[in-house]
Order: sequence, then C-alpha cells, then structure tokens
Amino acid sequence: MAEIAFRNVNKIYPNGFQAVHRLDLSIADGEFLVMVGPSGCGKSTTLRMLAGLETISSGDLLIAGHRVNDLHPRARNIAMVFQSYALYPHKTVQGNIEFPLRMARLPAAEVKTRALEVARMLELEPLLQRKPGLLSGGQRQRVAMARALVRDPVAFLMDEPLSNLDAKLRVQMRAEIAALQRRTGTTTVYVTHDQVEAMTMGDRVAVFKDGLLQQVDTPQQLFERPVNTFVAGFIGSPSMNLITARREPAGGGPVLVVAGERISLGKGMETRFNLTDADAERVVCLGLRPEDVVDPQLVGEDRRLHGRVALTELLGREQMVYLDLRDGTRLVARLHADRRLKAGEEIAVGIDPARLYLFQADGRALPYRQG
Amino acid sequence: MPLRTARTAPYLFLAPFVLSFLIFGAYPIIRSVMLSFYITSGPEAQHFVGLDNYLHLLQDPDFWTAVRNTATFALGSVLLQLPLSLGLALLLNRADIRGRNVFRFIFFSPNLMGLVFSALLFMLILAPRFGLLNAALHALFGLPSTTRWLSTPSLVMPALIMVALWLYTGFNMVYFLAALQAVDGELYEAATIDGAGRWAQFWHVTLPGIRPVLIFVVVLSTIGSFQLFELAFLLLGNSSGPDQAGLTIVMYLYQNGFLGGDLGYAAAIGWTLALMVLLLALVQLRITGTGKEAR
Repeated sequence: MAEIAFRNVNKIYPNGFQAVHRLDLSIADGEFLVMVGPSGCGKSTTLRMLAGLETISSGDLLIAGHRVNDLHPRARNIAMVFQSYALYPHKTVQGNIEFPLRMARLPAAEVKTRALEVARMLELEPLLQRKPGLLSGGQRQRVAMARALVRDPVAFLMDEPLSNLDAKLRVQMRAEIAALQRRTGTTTVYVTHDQVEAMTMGDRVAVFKDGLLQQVDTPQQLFERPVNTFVAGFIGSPSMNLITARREPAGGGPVLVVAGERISLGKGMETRFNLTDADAERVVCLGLRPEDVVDPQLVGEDRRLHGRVALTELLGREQMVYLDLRDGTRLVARLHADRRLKAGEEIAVGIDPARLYLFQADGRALPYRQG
Repeated sequence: MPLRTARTAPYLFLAPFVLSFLIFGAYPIIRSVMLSFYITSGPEAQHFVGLDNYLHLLQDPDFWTAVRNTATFALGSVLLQLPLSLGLALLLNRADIRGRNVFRFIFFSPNLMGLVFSALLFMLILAPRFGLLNAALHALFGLPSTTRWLSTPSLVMPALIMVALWLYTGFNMVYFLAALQAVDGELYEAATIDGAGRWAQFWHVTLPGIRPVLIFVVVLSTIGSFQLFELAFLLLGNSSGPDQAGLTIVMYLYQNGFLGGDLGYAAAIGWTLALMVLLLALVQLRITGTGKEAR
C-alpha cells in the first residue's frame, strides 16, 4: 500500500521563483505515472520534492496516508534513477547494487543474495565486477535500475532515465522499464520531456506547464480529449495544427470560418463536442492533427480547405505536407505518399468534423460530449 | 634553401629549451653526482674517494639526527595539516556558509606573503614574555609566559610544524576545494536516497572522489617537508637550534657544503635525500594503489 498524494503543494525558491503551483495529484498504489512537460515546467521539482531532495514550501505530501513533508529521504524508502545514473564510479557494479542494502545494515549474506537476484533479473551477472566507467550507456542504465530495484522500495522515481541513450536503445529500454514495472508492481513516477515516452509507458500521464498541472489522464484520453491547446499541441507527434477560426451565423448548423473558407460542422451531431450555439460562438481556435486531414473526395464541398504546397517530407509510405492556406496560415498534413506532391502545387484537403478539436479564447477546449 | 629551412626550423625552435636545460639542468645534475664521489675543500681542492662519502654518511650521527628531525616534521605536517586542510575545504565548499570566498582568501593569504616576512612574524609571535602565543596561552590556560619556543630542544619541532601549518594549510585547502567541486553533486543525492548519512557519504562519495588529489597532496607535502630548509634557517639561523633540534637534512647539507666547504659530502647528502624521497613517494603510491586501476 503506497499510494502517493500531493495536496495543494507549492514550491517557491528563495529567490521568489515559484516552480510548482497548487499541485493536487494522487498516484495509486502500483500505478505507473509519467510526468511530462517542456523544461522548466516543474515536473522535475515535483519529483525531487517527492524524493525529499527539495523541501516543500506549502501543502502536504502523503505517502500511504502519512504526511512525509519533513521526513528525511532515507526514511521515505523511495528509490530513484537519475538522468546521469549517478553510479558510484569507484565501486564495482556489485558494490553499486549492494550499497543501499549495506546502508540499511542488512546482514552480509542477505545483501549478497538480493544483489545477485536483481543482477540476474537485469542480466548484469557477467558485469558484476566491472566499474561503471567500463560500461556502455545501456548497461549503466540497467545498473542504476538494479540499484533502485534491490531495495524493494515503496516507489520508484525516474528522472529522464533514457535521455542519455541513443534512439534505438531508448526504444528498447522503454519497453524493458515498462515490463519491469508491470512485473514488480511498484508505484512508479517517471519524469520525461518526451511525449512519446509518456504516451507509451504511463498508465496515466500528468502534463505540466509553467509549474501548473494541466491535465492528468490516460494516454488515450489525453490524446482524444485534451483540456486545452497546450496539452493538445504537446501530446501527439507531429503536433496538432492550431488554427484561428471563428463561427459564422448560418442556417442549417454551425459553420466555422477557417483561413477565409467555410467549414460546415453539421448539425452538432458529428463532432466530439457538445455544440450548442452559445458554445460554438466562443470558438476561436481549431485543432486538427496532421494525420486527421482526409481525402477531399471523402467529404462534401463545404468541408474542404485549399492551399499551396510549401514543402513535403517523404516518410516512406506517407508524406508530411506543409500547406499554406488561402490567408497564409500554415497547415501540416500527413498524407499517403501514393501521389507525391510538389512544392507550389495547389491542392485541396478534406476536414472531417468528427476529428476536429475546438478551443475557446482562454485556450480551454469546448466541453466534450459525454460517452 | 626552403628545404634546408624546413629541416633546421624544428631544431631552432627547440634550441632555447634544450640548451638552457643542458646548461642549467643536466650539467649540474651530472656534475653533482660526480661531485659526490670526491672529498672537496672549497671549489678547487678535490680528492676522489669513490663511495666513501655515502658510507661515511650512513655512520654519521648528525645525519641521522637530521633525518629524524625531518621525518618528525614531515609526519607532523602531513598528519596535522592535511586533515585540517580537508576539513576547511569541506566547510568552505558548503553553499550555506556566508562569506565563504572571504574565508577562502583569508586561509590562503599566508601564501601571498614572503617566507622571510612570515618567519619574522613568527619570531615575534613565538618570542618569550612578549610573544603573542605565550600571551595567549597564559591568558587562556594560565601557562607561564616565559616558554622559549625556539631555544627549548623539545619545542623547536612543534614550533616549526605550527608555522608550517599556518603557512601551508590554506594552500592545500585550495587543492581540496578544487577536488571537492569536481565531485558530481548527483552522487550525493543518490547516496542520500540510498540511505547514506553524512559520514557514509564522506566515506563512500567524497573520499573516493577526491582520492587522486588526496594522494597527490600527500606525496607533494611529504616531498616538500623533506626539503625543509628556509623556514628552519630563517627562524634558527645557521645554528640549527639547541641540541641540533632544528637540524634538517637540507640544513645539514648546507652546513657541510657552504659553511664547511665540503661540496662533495653535501652532494652525497643531496643524492641520499633524493633517493629517500623517491622511495617514500613510491611506497606511498604503492600503498594507495595508484596507477594500477583502469579508472
């Protein structure tokens, strides 16, 4: 039982900078929570407060129901994997793995057994007598994981543990860490700035910006129902197109004016939003993921945008098309590569209202339809 | 012509160093080895005696007194000075110490003064009756203020060690500070989370992290201590103190070579000292296992 809860937690540094604002966040026992956001968004500070490496300015941090604000890191029984791995350079792999157990003054025999057990699990056995300086990045990463695992902690904290690895290894370790977490069932809080890591690894993902928690939800919900333009733009790769739009009064259902062209939203039945007239009035921004741009033949005349191709990137079976719409607005579309487009070409693209996102002036999404 | 220039140019560039090294480095070294096989009286009169100088040295009680004194000084310096330097460095490496740059400067500042000035200062401090040290000991502990530090045989070495402490603690502190700042801060955080307390962190993170510098400073301090001369000379003069209590190896060399005129014997003392220091350094490096590790 080790659920973690932040209750109205603030972090203000002595120089007055507030890194975390009024954080309320609960992490269930055994959950894999990923905290994601651009650098300086407060995700690492939050993690460090949880570890006890940063003090909490106000609010409560609860672990298993107990307030731990003033508890020394040692007493919290939390393990952490650092971005730099922070392996003790003069100790062997075995020495590194055994260190937390030695500090806990466990009997020597048990220290050895447990270290070997974890080493076996992470396939580190042949490296036990090596020093970290002689290991590859991936091996060091695994040693850091082993040192965290060996303690049987109430929670794992990971601070960008994959960012020092090359792309291929990162994908591999991503899967390994996720599998390991499922196997051990230990509550895990994982910090990254990479939304792909966040989406593929987390049971839930917490998106931070400027010290404020924007949204915490399952990857699918974040993707399908972002609460604001920031989350919408941050989650998903390539990023969602966010285009200025306004609603025009028209008979026969709401109509959006986008880049000088009119897009019919149907009769409020086809979008994922609860489109009453009043809501549609508030729309100022339209979100469209590049992969949601459809073949113009599939939609009616009243759901097309026209533009000139500025640039294309071939991705194999698909191509990224950078389109300048009639008023100069840039739209990125991910289209099939069966017909290669050339710069300067005039094309039309189709808009499916069911795949649109709509946002208000303050950046918040319109209310989503239930179900 | 250009070909010749290209060939000779490297030698021309090397010449200033090579020439000055040959004249001022290699020649004196070789000459002093040769000199150590002669008995000399002044620069002119020389008489070849083979290894006699060295054999005589081994039976010379004054030389052994000098060795004993020098070793005492070296031990006292290294054992007192280095822990103190490290302690200061640890303190002044902490971010929460106010005005730590000022303190760093204060502790380092004795090195900015000339050695002669320092020696004069300590002659005043150590003076009986009016000296600062005696006055302080009297005021604090009620000890008699007549202690004659530089003319009581048992107190000469402690006095010298104390002056060296004042002179060099801050200097070594700078080495340690540099080493401490090179230790990765995340290691301390990792150790904290792994459950290590302050002492365990010092033992498992700090000491291994500064180990190369620590060894360097120990070896260098030892070598430096064995070459002690100026301080003793300035505080005690040619006399090397009461009962030869301040006689160091280099002081003995100086007395033989430049006061007694036997440069041959002095050269033998010099080379014996060099061998001793080399051996000592090798033993220290061996004990600490330097150079054997891959990393």
